[in-house]
Amino acid sequence: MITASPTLSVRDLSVSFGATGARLQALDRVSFDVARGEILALVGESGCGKSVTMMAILGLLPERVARIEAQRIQLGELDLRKATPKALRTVRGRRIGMIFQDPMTSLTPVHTVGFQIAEVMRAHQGLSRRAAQARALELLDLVRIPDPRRRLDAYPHELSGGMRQRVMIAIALACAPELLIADEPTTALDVTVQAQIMELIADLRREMGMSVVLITHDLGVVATTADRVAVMYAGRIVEEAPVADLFRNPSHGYTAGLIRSLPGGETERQTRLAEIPGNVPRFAAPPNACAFTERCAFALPGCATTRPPDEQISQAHRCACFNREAVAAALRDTPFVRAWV
Amino acid sequence: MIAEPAAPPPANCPRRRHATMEALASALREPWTLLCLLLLAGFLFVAFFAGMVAGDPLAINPAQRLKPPSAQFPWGTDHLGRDVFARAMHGTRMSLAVGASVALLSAIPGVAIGIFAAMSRLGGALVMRIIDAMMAIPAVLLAVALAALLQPGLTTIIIAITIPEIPRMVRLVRAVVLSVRQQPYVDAAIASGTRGPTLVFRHILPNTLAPVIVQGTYAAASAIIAAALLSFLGVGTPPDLPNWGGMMADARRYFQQDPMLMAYPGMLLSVLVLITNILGDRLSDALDPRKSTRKI
Repeated sequence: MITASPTLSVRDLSVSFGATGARLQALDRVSFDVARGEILALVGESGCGKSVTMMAILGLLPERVARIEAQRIQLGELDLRKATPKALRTVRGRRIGMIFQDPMTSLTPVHTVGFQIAEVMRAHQGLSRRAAQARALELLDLVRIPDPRRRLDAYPHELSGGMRQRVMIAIALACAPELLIADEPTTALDVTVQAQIMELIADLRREMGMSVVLITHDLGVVATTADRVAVMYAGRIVEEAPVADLFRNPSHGYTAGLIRSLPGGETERQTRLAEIPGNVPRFAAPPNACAFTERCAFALPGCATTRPPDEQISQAHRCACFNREAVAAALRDTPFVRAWV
Repeated sequence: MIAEPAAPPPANCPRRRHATMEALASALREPWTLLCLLLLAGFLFVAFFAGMVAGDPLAINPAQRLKPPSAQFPWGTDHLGRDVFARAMHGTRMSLAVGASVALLSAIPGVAIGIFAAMSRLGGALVMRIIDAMMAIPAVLLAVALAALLQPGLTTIIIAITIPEIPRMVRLVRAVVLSVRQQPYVDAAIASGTRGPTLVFRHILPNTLAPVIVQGTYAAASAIIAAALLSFLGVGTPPDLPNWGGMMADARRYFQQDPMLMAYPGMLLSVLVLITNILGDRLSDALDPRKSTRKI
């Protein structure tokens, strides 16, 4: 989907690791846009390339082992492919904020949280120590930390996981970035705190008008927060659609597998949860095959020999699957999909 | 832009005291730590004011050789009739000077080289091979050789003990930095645009310091022993510098007549080394914010 002027636009991003000869293709021509003020969810299981995509965009992959090719990585008017290390540093933290998966270890243990929030603003906006501390106080209040003045002087180990994740969010938002990347922001937290954090991210997106890329493997989180979803498998985006379209009309074998493996409604309480057989391929799929063929319940003979092209199902819904009518038809009866129709 | 906070936090909420000060204050409340600190203060006092607490450590009095303790000589006299108490008190100076200097002088280059070795691939490999080569030489042998090469004196002893101590510090710092560098908070700092030097000084160095401080106190303790050993062997110490190792070396020959001649400096040495080690452990606990007992 192409909007008038997306915050982030990525075309044909490929990343491979390792020495020549034994290269591991981590990303295979990934393309997506994030519109202004939109939450895009990148969904897929561990190792499918969600995090690598974001690391490549931020230029955080080690240059020695990672080879990055792309038609376009555009942040606003800035071409991130050609950005100098210095320019990239000003992008990180200032124009793109990042929240990491594990709030327990993502804060430096030896500095107070107030210092760490202030550090970002002092580095990027040249604020004085005093001004930065004052802003840090506002930010702690913004991320709804109770009694922020006291928390300013707290060390990370004195805060709970949910509080630390709020501090991480405060750091990510310190310079009012146009794009927030949240890399599985709630996996390390328990369920009630998860909901609060997701609500906070959604609220802040509205208040600050920023775009969000939400990396997750939790379809429940996707359903409640995201505007659009890109499903990734083995380094490729296999299906991309607005949330409602995706859940109403899932069209890729892998999306179907993900939806089927969700806990169902009351009728299915006694049954074992459905699973996707097998594992994520250790090495990239052959270039001319669908990467999911071997595990796919809907595989056709052609899937192993021809790579299905990206096809536009509706204006905003694209999918790379030969058997998508069968997929959509088979899932029409699952409670999860019925809930969306 | 970011919205204004709905309600400003109450202004009368007191800021807490600085964490490090608070941690040190709580360490002081432990009786063992307090005892060690008092003992160390005693050693320091004696080292600075040895001339006032005790008499002349160098005055030779052949008529008063190997006398038992008396009002004039509280710990008796040695084989030249010198005041053992005065010599032991003056000997504190050298032990403390060597311990403190070696700890500091091995920590500064050790931390710098260690961080360099961990952050630079090629340079690091080169530095570590040199360090490996240095560690292959026995420390005492290297110290004896260095002490023999240079002019006798306190500086020589400090240099001779510091140089074999540096490789240990480098290895420790490098290992710690390598693990700190992999921590998510370092990635997080890079992802929020932190520059190289800031990254090292603000995120990597402070997280490296606790083990460095402990290693520094161990280095001080082992340097005090090494200095005594060098003096015992008669390397590097000028005869007019009273020190515990030299006293023990002299006392060795008169051990059967007066074993206490060896016991006085030996006990002082043991106590000083012990309290240095204990205080090192306590200090590393106090400096680690995760181990402090404060609650908010």
